Amino acid sequence: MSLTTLKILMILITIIGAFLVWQSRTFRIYGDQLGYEPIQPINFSHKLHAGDNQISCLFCHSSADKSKVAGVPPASTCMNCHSQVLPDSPEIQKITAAIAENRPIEWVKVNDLPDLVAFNHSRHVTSGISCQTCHGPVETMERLSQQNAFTMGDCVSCHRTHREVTLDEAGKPQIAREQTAQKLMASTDCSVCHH
Amino acid sequence: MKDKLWKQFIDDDERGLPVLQNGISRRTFLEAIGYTTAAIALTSCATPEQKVIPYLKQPPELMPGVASWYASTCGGCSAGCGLLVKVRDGRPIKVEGNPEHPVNRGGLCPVAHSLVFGLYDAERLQQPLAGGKPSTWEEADKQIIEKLKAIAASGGKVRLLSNSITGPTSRKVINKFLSQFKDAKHIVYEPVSTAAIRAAHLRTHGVECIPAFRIEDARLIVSLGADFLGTWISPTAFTRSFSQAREVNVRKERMLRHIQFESRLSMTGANADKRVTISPAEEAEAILLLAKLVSARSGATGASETIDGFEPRRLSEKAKAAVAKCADELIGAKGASLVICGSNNIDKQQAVSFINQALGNYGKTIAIPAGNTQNFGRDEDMQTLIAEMKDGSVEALIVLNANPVYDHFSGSEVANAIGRVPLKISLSPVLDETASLADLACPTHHSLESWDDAEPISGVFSTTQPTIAPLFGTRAYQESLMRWSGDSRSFYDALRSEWQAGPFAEQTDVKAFDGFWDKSIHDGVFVSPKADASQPAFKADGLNDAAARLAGRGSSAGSLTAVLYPKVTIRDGRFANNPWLHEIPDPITKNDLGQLRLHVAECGIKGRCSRRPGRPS
Ligand code: SF4
Repeated sequence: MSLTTLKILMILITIIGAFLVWQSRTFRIYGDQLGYEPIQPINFSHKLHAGDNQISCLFCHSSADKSKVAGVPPASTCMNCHSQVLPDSPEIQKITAAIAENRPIEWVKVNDLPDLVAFNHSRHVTSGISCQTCHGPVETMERLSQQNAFTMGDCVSCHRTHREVTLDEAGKPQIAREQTAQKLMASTDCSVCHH
Repeated sequence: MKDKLWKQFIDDDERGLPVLQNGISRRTFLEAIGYTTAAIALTSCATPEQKVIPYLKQPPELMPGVASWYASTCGGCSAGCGLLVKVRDGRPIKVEGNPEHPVNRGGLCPVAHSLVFGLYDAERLQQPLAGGKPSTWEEADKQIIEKLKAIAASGGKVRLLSNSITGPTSRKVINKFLSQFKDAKHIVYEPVSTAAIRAAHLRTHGVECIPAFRIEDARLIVSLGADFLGTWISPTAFTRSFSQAREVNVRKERMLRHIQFESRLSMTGANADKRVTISPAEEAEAILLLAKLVSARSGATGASETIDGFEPRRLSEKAKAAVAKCADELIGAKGASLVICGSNNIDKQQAVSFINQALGNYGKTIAIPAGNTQNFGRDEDMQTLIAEMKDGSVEALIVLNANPVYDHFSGSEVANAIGRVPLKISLSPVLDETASLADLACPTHHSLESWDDAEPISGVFSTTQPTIAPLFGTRAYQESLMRWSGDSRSFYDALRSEWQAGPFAEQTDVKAFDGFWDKSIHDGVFVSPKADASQPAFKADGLNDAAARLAGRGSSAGSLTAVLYPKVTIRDGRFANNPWLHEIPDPITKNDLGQLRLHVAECGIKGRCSRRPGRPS
């Protein structure tokens, strides 16, 4: 191959690469996978559970208000209900089999952040930020997909605007931009996330 | 293709730019590199697919992302400090000192802080090796049991070589294993030995032990070359006591005063109120002069003629004056002073023991019965072992953690001697210089993966619990020895039954063993309420001979004297592959990554202090 052909090839590769990056959802910076909707090992529907059946998010993601991670429920949590409800469905059978074989279920992570960011779920959940603020209308999704670009720009823009919180009648914090009943300053200091 | 644009773009040689051998100019080459890099960088932006793997059945006390703390015992050295291990999502990530542990009372040395690196060390053996090739436990056990049976039948010599083992249960397992053979012995070897202190107390008090030094009860501490804040015996505990005694406190009458005599500048010396430099050759005379002055002033004369009539010959005037002043201060702090010596010479230690006796320190700042198993090496045993291996009479050698080929003063001689042993088994977790000579390597767990106990100071039972399931296919060395002596229990069961018979029986507070066990594991330590035995009396037998030997030591004029010292971080070199320990600058020389050779300006050695890696690889 002559050097010239090589050069033309390389320029082409770069252009195609740049196009892919610009177009595709997979080729984004870490964290920004807007619309990423991987196939999961078990065909679990958030719409059915959180939407139609109105099961609270914290029922399964029980550490969201206590830990930095929300926690994917252990298989035993599924079986709390599904030992009675639809135990014969093929999807539930997969869980039963996993427990019988002592083989943990490998879910595919939908929302991910690079390790250089220390995101803490409990900080946000206990401050009254609803799960949907970041994760979108999960209760309408058959299969979970990423609804917000988890880039620094998105985090910071929220930290800049959602600074003030009011309490509703039940004493729960509600996000409101204008009112100043109680100030919850969401810091934009670097070390808040990068520590 | 050779239109104008491309021509300009490509043909650098026509423009008189330098061209590489194969016709590609430097500029073209850089352009090509630039495009490729950009193309690779752009296409590698994709977020990789990540998995979240939850428990099947989550233990109720665990929460993902939230750390739990477990009490354990430090496996870094034989001091037996108590740890609190931070475990998150099933992985130990950091250790801190256990404030309720009587040995270290919350403190930790750099070695312990870097302990987790040893756990995740990629150099650890991941399965047993037979003849250097990966094997299975069944296969290794079969071979070993067969060979050991033959040795037991023929009555051949079996030797187990290890570093200090502070665990009473582990020592029992070792003894039980060795009891199968007619001629078997456990040799404890420490490269930086303090055996002289034991041997000296055998002479002076009839007990072979390192006494407990209670720095916190002292008003004056005089150290002759002992780096007790850095590496000596139990540095973390001494640092804790020292800082406690140095605290300026309105209620306290006086704070501890510290005088250090030493030749190299140690971290301990840097912390002293008064530091006197003496050459290693002057140390013996300084001790004898101190003994003479102290015994004369405290009416303890008559124990040794040599000491009573001692006249220093080599000691400099400056040092003489400093020793005399130090003796005055010691007399002023009788019964609340402490004289320690870092030397591994029995005679020196015996003289130091005499000084402490003359000052009435035994029973006050030094306790004999609270003897400990810390740094329990016996030097003469090691020499005997080398001789036995050399004459070919040792049939089986089992090595556990000890690495004499690397850290013994005649390592190559040890290596040759080991080569003559027909059956060599290593229980060490890494393939170090000694383990790589073994026929069979049966790697043990890391201390953060193990069950164990420790009794570093008599009556203080410290527990070690696993904070992670074993990462590799290793097996606790106790279990290996139990298999080879026909005991199929797990070491955990052995530990429990030993504790039921031992520590549990020594207390009356908790009635049920299960409760007692859970509490001990939870606390990480159990302190036996059994009262200490009475203090054995001091005997001056042999003191005069020891003093005479010290006084008669030849002059070292015209020769070079080398002082070998362990570094505060990598100690004797065994932690030389721990990145954190390498990156901590030495507190005195400020150098990291390696060990410095320091020399006196007048010694004639040319060049700057050298930097030498701690461990040849
Ligand atoms: S002195 Fe350091 S290495 Fe030794 S047991 Fe204590 S903390 Fe561990």
